[in-house]
Amino acid sequence: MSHRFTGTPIKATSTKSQVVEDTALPGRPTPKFVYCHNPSNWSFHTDHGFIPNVTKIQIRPGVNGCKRPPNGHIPMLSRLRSDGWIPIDESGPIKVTDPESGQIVDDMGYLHQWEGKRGPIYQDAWSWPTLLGAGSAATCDWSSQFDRAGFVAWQVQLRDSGTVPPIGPGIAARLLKVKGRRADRRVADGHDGNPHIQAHVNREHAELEAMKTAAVEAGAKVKGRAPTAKKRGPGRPKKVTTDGS
Amino acid sequence: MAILHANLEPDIRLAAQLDQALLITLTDMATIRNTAAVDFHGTVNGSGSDTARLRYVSLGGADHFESVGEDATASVTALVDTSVDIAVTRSTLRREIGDIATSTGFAQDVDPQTLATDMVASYDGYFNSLLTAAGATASTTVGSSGVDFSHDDFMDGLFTLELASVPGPYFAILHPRQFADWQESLRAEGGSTQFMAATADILTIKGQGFAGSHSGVDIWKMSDVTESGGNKLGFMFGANTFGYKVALINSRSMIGAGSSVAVAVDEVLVEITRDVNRAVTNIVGNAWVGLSLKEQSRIVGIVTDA
Repeated sequence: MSHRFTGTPIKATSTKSQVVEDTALPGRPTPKFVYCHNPSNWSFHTDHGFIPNVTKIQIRPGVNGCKRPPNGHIPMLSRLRSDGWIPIDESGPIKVTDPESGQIVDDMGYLHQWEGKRGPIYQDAWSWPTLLGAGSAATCDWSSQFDRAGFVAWQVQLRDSGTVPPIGPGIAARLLKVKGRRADRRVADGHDGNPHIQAHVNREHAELEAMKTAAVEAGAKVKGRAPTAKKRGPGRPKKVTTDGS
Repeated sequence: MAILHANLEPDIRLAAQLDQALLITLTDMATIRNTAAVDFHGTVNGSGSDTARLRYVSLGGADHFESVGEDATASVTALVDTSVDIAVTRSTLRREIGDIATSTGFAQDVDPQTLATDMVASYDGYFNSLLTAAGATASTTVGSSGVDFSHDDFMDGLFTLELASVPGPYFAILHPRQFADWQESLRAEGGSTQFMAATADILTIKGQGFAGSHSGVDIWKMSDVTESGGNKLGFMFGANTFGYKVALINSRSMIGAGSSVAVAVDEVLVEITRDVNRAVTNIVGNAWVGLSLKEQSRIVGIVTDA
């Protein structure tokens, strides 16, 4: 027997408001910048040896002698050059990771402009935005999707192409000394048999050895060997008294 | 039929009643401007330029006496000189509010006076961003790209300054990410560090701005710390590392300005003007400031994972 009741499909939520797609990114606008290399600023990479660090010099009126636009940054960059800094051409060749293949590929220009809700946002070619939250509380994270492999490949390119001069022996020696101090600091803790600390010490020393090899190649004088953590020996046998106590 | 609230809306009852208090959304309100971390070098008023050049010479014992023979002629020692520019530029913030918006407000609300008073907080935020942009240009760095900030990095920074004989007091400007990573690192510290009262102090909850001292370094948390290469660019520095100058706008600029109210609030000039044709009030803050990193040898960058 059929019944006469019928159900009407309804929605649990409904809205009359229209959601407008906004492609502009949240967050404060950021100024244009030039990557510069200071000959004393290098770091060590386990796969690539010493690679040049680059510093983001913001073209920001009021900072470090930068005057008003459009040409206020020229005296600032001239002064940096006279202090030994090497500005990297923002339109020059770069290396990035191809998002499709995951391979390192060639590209041009590291300065990218993004449309922001409050003005243009300037980021480098390796930074990609990730939206966190929604609406007025939305923020933009530029670091979690950072193309680190591409960035490191570019640093290597700067070194190998001669865009920046090779690391000086004194700089290599200084970095080695800092690394040696860090590697040795927890050796004593490793003696106590903490496997976590021991693994840390071993990792630091492995990196230190690789760094020594790279430092020698850079012309630095390397003295001695890094001390290695040794397990404690059994020690002296306990004295046993005649009464067995 | 019962008298229900739902039935009384919207004629007898309100769907929502606005609270009397005016609250501020979460924002970093830290200010470091009025501390010893940044040197104030006065104004450029009457100087003939918007840019001041700070002059440095190698005096103060930089050149030592030398031992010479009894009748030898003393050689001439040249002075080494250098200079740093501080360019004072304009920064501004403008608000505009309609008359009816002001008139319908509560006792504590958004109105021209509230907006004018708030200008100093916005200026302080701007000042922080100048400082972090200048600090990001440190030529010597510690830390590792893509690796979390650790207590080792903190000590490396401290050693770097000490090896360069940088006079104290020392300051460190860290991004909240770096500070949180440091707290995580400090939890696992052994030896003398774990017994320091400062370690326990750093591990307690921290709000904005000044976050305590460790090993003689005053630590500041700032969300404006520059990000570059997937890293946060914090920095540690000693005394006399940064300097700033301002221009103060005086009455000479105001002659013939018409009907406006101008109030100098600290280093900010706030002006309130009426646009009677549109029945709105403009509140405009102007500040002229420049900040520079004076000596690279007094600072070390702290580059760690973002």
